[in-house]
Amino acid sequence: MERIIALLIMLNLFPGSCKAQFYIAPVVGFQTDLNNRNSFKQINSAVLFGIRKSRHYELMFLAQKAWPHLYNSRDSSFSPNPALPVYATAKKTIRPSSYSLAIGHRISLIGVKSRNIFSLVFYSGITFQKIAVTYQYNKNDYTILNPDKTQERTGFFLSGGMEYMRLLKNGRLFVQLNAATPPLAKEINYPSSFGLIAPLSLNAGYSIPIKKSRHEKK
Amino acid sequence: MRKNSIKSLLFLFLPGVLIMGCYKNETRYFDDAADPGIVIFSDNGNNILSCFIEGKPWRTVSRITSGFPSLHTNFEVDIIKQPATGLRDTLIIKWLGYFSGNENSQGYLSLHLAVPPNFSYRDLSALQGQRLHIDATKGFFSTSITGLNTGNTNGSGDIYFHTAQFDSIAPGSYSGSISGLFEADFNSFKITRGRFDHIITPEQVFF
Repeated sequence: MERIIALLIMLNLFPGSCKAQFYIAPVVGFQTDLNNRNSFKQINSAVLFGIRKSRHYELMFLAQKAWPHLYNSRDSSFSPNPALPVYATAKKTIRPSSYSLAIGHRISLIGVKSRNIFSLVFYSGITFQKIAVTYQYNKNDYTILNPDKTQERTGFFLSGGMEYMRLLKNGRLFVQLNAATPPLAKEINYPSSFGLIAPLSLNAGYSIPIKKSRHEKK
Repeated sequence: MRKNSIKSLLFLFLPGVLIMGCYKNETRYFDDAADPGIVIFSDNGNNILSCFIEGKPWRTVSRITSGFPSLHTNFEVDIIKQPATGLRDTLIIKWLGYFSGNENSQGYLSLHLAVPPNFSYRDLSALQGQRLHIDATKGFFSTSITGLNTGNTNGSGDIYFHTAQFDSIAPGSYSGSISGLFEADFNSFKITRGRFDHIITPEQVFF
């Protein structure tokens, strides 16, 4: 894992140059899950730091937190006690959250000389996913059949997507549609009703220039 | 020449040695977050029973199938029918296990149920969905566990069979499964939060 991270950093920093435009962008969005039948939903918040190296290419650094949208369902619980009903429902709440750190690439393809730019974006990095499970039921008398359990995984991930960007007077407004892999981590060795999340996200951000290069100041 | 002969011998015997060393653990242990120390209540054929005996976690032995030449399975549960002197026979479900972390404390826990003399393995399916109060009229629970009791101790309790399915797959052959929950009172000690989940093969049913 350490070697992969080192290799990624080296590959990403190789085309480094001082003649660049720096940007910082707050990002918000929504993501749904492509890996589970009852897809988990999350609200995204992120900070994107960009280094524009040419009209066609920008290197990006992303720190993202995905906030859980609660998923409620019911499981079955049973009691051997003849004084109680044999079956009772147990309320299950799943809170899927995640953190990601990634290095990205923005490759502008269409409209590079206009105010409306269409680009491809790719990210690679590390993500931590926590799918927390809690139950509400009569724990003293009942036992849940095939219960779910909180799962946590950290691993390398890849994502790719498209972006529309509108150049404004003091910044850049952009919308990204991205699909990512689940963390490439040890498989969940538990009979869970869910797997790790493969997010499909729709994010919007406003990119503010924080330092102009000598080249652009002229 | 001699080197080649040794190599040939090695190639000849190595697969045999590897096969003889193989074994398969058919028990899957999934810790219950709500009851730390024992397994989850499942109906997936995890081949395990676990419970608290006087608050201490107790579990059945792992179902291990050894490789060639013996091809033998050590089962954690057996189902026996014992002829009785009266009008009823006794169906015995017998689990072999130990206190978690102390495999030297091996012993058994069994359920004894009064059944008609013509009770066959097909009738085991009738237990599915049944919740039985086990008292002197219907049968009893019994234990004999090193470090807990000497000889056999009998008690009363309750058992719920979530699944008890025995489907014929060929003449004289079938596949079965049982799962459920139980609690038992032996006066001097109690069994709580008991749960079991087993695939049952014809080798485990002795009638």
